[in-house]
Amino acid sequence: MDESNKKDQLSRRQFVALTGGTIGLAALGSLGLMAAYTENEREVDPADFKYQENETDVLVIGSGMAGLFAAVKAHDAGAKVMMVSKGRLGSSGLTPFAKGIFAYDEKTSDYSLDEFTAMVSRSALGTNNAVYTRQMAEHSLARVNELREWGFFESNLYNKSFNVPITERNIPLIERVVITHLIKENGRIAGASGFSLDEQKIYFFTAKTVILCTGAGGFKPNGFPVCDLTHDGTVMAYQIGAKVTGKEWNDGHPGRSTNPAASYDGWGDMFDQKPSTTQIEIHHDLGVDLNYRAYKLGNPIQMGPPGQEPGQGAELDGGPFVPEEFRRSGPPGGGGERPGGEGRRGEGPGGRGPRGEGGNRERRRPPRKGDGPPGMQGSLAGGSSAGMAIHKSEGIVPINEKCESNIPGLYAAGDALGSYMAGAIYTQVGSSLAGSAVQGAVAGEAAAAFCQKVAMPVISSSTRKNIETQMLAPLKREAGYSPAWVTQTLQGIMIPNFVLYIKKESMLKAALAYIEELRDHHLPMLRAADLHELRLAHETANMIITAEMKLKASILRKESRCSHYRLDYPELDNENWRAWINIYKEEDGSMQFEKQPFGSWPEVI
Amino acid sequence: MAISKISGCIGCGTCVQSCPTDVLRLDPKSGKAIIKYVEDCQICHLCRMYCPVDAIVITPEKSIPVIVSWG
Amino acid sequence: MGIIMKTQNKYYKLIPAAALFIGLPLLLWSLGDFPRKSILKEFLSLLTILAFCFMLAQFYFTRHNKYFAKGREFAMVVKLHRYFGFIFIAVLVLHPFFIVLPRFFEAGVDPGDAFVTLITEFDSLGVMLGLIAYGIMILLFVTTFFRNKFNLHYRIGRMLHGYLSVLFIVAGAWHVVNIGRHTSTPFSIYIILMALSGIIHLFLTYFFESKKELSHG
Repeated sequence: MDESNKKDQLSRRQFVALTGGTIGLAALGSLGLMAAYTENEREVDPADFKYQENETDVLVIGSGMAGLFAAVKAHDAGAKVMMVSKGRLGSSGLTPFAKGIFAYDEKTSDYSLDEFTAMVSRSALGTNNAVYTRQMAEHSLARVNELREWGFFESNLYNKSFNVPITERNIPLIERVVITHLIKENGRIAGASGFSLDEQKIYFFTAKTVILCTGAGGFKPNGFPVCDLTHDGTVMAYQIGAKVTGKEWNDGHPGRSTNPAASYDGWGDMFDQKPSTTQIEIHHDLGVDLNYRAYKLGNPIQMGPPGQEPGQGAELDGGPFVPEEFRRSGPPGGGGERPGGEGRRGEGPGGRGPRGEGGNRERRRPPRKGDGPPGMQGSLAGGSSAGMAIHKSEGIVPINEKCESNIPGLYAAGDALGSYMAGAIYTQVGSSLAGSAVQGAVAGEAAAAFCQKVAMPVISSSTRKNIETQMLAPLKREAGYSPAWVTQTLQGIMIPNFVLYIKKESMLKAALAYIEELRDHHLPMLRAADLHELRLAHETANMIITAEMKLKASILRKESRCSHYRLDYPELDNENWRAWINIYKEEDGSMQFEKQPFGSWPEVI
Repeated sequence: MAISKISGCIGCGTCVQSCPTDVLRLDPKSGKAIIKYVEDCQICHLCRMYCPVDAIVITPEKSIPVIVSWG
Repeated sequence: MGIIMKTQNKYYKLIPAAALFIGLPLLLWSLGDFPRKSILKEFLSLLTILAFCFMLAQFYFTRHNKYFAKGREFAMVVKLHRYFGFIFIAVLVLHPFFIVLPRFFEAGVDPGDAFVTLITEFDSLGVMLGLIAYGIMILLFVTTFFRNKFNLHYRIGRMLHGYLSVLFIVAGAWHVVNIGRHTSTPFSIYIILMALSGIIHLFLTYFFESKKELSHG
């Protein structure tokens, strides 16, 4: 445990004073398509909700790869387990689209575990947590073998294979229930609560432990199938005092400029592929370099004939730094000249480096399983994954190698855990999906062990009442802002590449002023006419809080490293910034920041 | 317009469950799937691929204006 | 020369039937606002549509249809009724499989699982009607193909065939209108009209024939 826990507080007044106010106006002007503040034409009666009580040792929230293993391993370790998901098992979040899974076999590999871990650490410029890097590789093959047994590699759809172990173990599975609140009583986790999308019913879960397998999220971006992930887990955990991290990093996947919102089409035939395994192949894949090129020179992908390097001829100085060892080709300054990528073996949006998979260069070899989008015609558009950080680099801060948070009984796994397994950059191809499986299993076993030490908590009636009031508030409003309109406004502020990708203080502060406006004057006035819109309202609120975190963390990190690029601080600052940024909520409700040195665990009071 | 047509639906509800963004619902009258919230369609095609009778047709255009980072 | 003339004489009467039960459905299919899919899927769809239309046509390809009154035409119609029946029942027997067949060649749910979901969706009116129509169709086939084995009196056999046909076409047409992926409003109207007039034609024939037979007796 290192000692330097320096707090950096950001004053809101300071930001507002410095705000330029240029972005939002332009962005807002371009929208104007949805009614903003209108009467709430309710389709459901907020006074007519039923309740369902549930009690379990381990509550797994989320039903992707991490949730699957969390539930299975917690059950196998002797705990009573329940799984709840706002979607369907294996068919929500990013898991359905992840097609490559890393399987490390020490016997056949050219590298030892230590060598692998060291190589990832070099590419990640220290941003990775080597304990989690090693853990992922060490257990990946075992998880892959279990998946193979369940039939995971036999279909491009995962619901059936995921159902095999869940059904075998009779683990109760509650789908299409949106969890909105984590519940803390007497300083430890006591459960969670949410509502059904299909009927007017509020669910209360009393649980000794909760494992968040809720993925990460984005700003419902176009072209990336991440629109159901809105950092719900992170924000719910933040609200009850958990530390979260990694908000300054950015995934920089581009999309196609023709129909940029078409996720399926943009990824070529990848969504049709059955999953496959990947071997050691370490990169330093940014995506932000592509944004830099677009920022400096305009859209970099004006394609010549097949085989020609994209954007050929235009030399570009500066830009995000790529370590020598991991440069693929071309001039220093890092891979910006290869936005088209190779279309090489990838793993899908659920865990592949932002190698410019949207690239439109002709393939030089026959397609392979797990390929990125094949040579697409036309030019690229940016920000297809906007709002998402690098897989495994944002989320709940782990206090140890067991995926445990600073809230006793609260665990997280996969993209919901800020484990820094791969660092703040894409390193090992296929490791994101493998890491979710491995961490799910680790968290499941740890949570099951924790359950044996504690009694079943009790959720007080005042807590229940408060939660219900907050949960249904958008339904009860007689008038308000439509979540869709607020989301679009948020997108207009956050998605342009001069805000989140090519960062500079003035613009970050300007954007923050807009976000704070949304936080203070729109978030409390979100309305919902039905259960779908109620979900959107909660998702929108979570995105606003995430946007605030992303902007403030980006302002704080006055250097450039991995996928965080500051135009005004373009260099690595190893003296001050060999540290992660943790975010937590102070007793008074304010958002606080602290540094946690690389290679250390956070202090737990 | 994203998910655009459902024809030949048998009302099994698989698509409703499989849609990550909750675009579809079963029509209480006909018992068949309807496209209720098309603006939230992320054009991922899971519903189409899970549909047992291949009833769903999806086009690549989003039904609402699209905000991109650059393009 | 004479032979050709004879052939023409024999088959030209089928032209209106072809127009009504092949031409019109094809026209409705091509003009309808249906999503166009792969060649395999379109082929299977068309085959199924035409098979059902031929089942509608069967009500007119009968020995009692005065339109085909002459001896040679009479024989032809009896033959065609039998052939069409067997061929297109075979197509309709297979059509639930046609729905999942393309899944063998494309990504998505396992065709076997899809098929199980499809035929066990008992909450669906369309599926239930389909299962009922399917069952009657099998019964129609069995009672016709093995007619001699059942030792039925000709008239009872004929009545059974007629009534089963009516039941089949009611359930079948309803199934198609409820669940068919190419069921546009014009298609529905066409199917309902053809089914109704077919049933009426059948009942009229039975009614008048019975009278005639009575009067002879």
